[in-house]
Amino acid sequence: MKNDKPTAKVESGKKIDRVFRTVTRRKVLSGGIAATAVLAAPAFLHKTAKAATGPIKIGLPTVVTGGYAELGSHVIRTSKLVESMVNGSGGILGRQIEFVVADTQGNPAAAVRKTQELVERHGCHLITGVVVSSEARAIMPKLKEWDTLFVSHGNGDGRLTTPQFLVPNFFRANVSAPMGARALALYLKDDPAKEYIAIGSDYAWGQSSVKAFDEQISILGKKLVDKVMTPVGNKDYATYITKVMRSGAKGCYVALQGDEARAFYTQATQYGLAEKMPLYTEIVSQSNIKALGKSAAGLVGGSRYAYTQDTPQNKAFVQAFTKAHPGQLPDWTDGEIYQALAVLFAGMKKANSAEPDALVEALEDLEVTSIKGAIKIRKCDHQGMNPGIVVKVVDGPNGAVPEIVKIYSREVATPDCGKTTFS
Amino acid sequence: MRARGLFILVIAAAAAAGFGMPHLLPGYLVNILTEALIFGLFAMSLDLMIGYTRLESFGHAAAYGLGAYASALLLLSFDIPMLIVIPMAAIITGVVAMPIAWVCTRSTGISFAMLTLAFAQLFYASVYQFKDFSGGSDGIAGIARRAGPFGIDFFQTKIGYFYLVLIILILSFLFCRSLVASPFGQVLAGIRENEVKTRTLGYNTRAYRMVIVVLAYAFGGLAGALYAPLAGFASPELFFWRMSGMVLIMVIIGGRGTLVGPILGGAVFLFLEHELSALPMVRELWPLIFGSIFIAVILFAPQGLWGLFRSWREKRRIGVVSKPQSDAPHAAS
Repeated sequence: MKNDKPTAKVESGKKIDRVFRTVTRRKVLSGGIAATAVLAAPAFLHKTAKAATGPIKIGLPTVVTGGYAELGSHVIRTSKLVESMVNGSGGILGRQIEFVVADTQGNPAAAVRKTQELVERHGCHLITGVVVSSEARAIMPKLKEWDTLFVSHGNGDGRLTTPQFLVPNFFRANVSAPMGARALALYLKDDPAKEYIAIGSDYAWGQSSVKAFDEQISILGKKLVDKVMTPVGNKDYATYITKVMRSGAKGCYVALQGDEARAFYTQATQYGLAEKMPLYTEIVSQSNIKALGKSAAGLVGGSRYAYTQDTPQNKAFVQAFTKAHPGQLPDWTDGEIYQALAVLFAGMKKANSAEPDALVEALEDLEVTSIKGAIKIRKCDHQGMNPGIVVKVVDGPNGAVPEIVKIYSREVATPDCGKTTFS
Repeated sequence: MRARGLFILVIAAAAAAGFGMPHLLPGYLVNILTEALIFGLFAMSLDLMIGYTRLESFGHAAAYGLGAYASALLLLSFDIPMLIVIPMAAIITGVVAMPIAWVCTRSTGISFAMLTLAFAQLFYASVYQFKDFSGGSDGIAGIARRAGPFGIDFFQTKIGYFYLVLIILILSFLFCRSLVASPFGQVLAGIRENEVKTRTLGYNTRAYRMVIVVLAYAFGGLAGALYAPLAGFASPELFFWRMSGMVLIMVIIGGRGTLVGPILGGAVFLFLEHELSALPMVRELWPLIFGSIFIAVILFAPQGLWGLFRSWREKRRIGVVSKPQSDAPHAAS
């Protein structure tokens, strides 16, 4: 028994010794080097400073994967085209421009995360190309914290430029949902039909679009017999189309985009919906026309941008586009991102700066001659005053063509300041 | 002992790095790290059901969404500090989970999984139906991190919020670890291995299953409650089946039945998704690569990343034990 205690001590000492023998001088040194590396990390990990020299970086937090990926792909292709055009002609303010793309997946949470990365990792204090309105809504409250300017190219939710959501660093160069609905409703004034039905995607833009159309046609003494709001990302419209066909309405207003629109128009063709009642839509896009095939002829809708518009700026754009993308035609997203960038660059030239603070001041009440004609960015609500374009799809020698049938002046087509309604 | 010493050193280094990291990183990485910890907590809550009781849930997004919406509505509607709102939201989620647990535990296996999915989709559809309350597809935006109580405002900052999430994760982990190691946890293990035998031994296995479902929902709700003030909004996607699928993948990648594995899985999932989608050369193909990595993990590390680490540690331990034996002749000489 006498020897028990010392033996235990020896055993315990051996164990401790074994543990500490593993912590050799080499390991301590390598650990020290690693710790030093971690401590030194801020030098290259910390926030990218806004450089007044070097390229002007513009972030594109857009949809690369997901249901709206087609719209995102249009944003990217035209931005890259603009990049080569601008840099080829000497850049802006003597600096080259550079676009940095991030995939938001159409998800507001990812949009915030990715935009923050564009700002803090890549130094993009100017952003555009956000596809979905709910993503824009999630990003907007963070703009001040990030010291970043956001120029919308396609976010349609009317409320984004109302006091409810507007922030100083947000501008909308594009046509909003109420504006698209307004132009179409004005066009339908002489339509003998009195009753319509609306089908729209059940999120910010779709709701805003259907609501505005409802308000506008009620002013004309017409009415919506029903509003069919479909879930975001829906692929099967069979039951909804049946409901539309049985509604007794004389026309159907469609507020769907991306994959949803493609699925709807494809199934509408199968069910012969276009033969039963005329289809009207807030945005006539090339992909809608393609999905409808021969049934596309006769489709009437608002158009945020139509490649057939007869302005010198648009002709030059279409020429550059078709040269860069043979066999393709610019869709509305291409036109709107092109215009948003034109507005941004005009602001830079006016401010002689690419700093967000200077740009906010320069963009207010800015007049730009764009591919759609004369555009004014209102100071009161940062909404771009755009003309209201209505197109009708007609058969052409090389397929269906969106022919412009009416252009309403920007004063008529733009809602009252800070509102979604028109006086 | 050597391996254990190394393990303790690794854990201590990770904890120290965790506490020091936000001061070294740019803001966006602090946010990603915070979200990774929240995902870790969310995945760990599901592990209580999957890993310890073999209750495969396909609708755990319900817990996350409920926690996030409860937290968002409480912060926006009442003048209650965030530090009180977060546990309140977790409790609310637990209370809502009680009838869900009662219904779902009437079945087992695939029926249980489908019932949990049905409840999650029910909440998802309800968000669209009760627009005045939930904001519909727009969700709820402008959620502020309300200061207090006693004027505490440290957790309102980006770094402060990271620490809050880290502390809550550590406390939750310690609680869950104690729970699964307790006699209660042993009964859960019995249910997982052979429910009929456990019932024969006199245990009311359904009651145990109900309790663990409620607890898993409460911790999932806690994760959701932490997410809403971080993102500043809550949207219907939080209830969507995709979210349930994501958390399931996190648990499988990390290693089920380990608690720490799913935390690791949550972090790996988020960083992989984030970094892959940022690679310009893969662009829209990143989900394909992500899926391939997931398949590889299933095939080559069926016990998950933590299981892989543990088997590596075990091999090293065996190596340490066998090494002195091989050295023995030299020692003798």
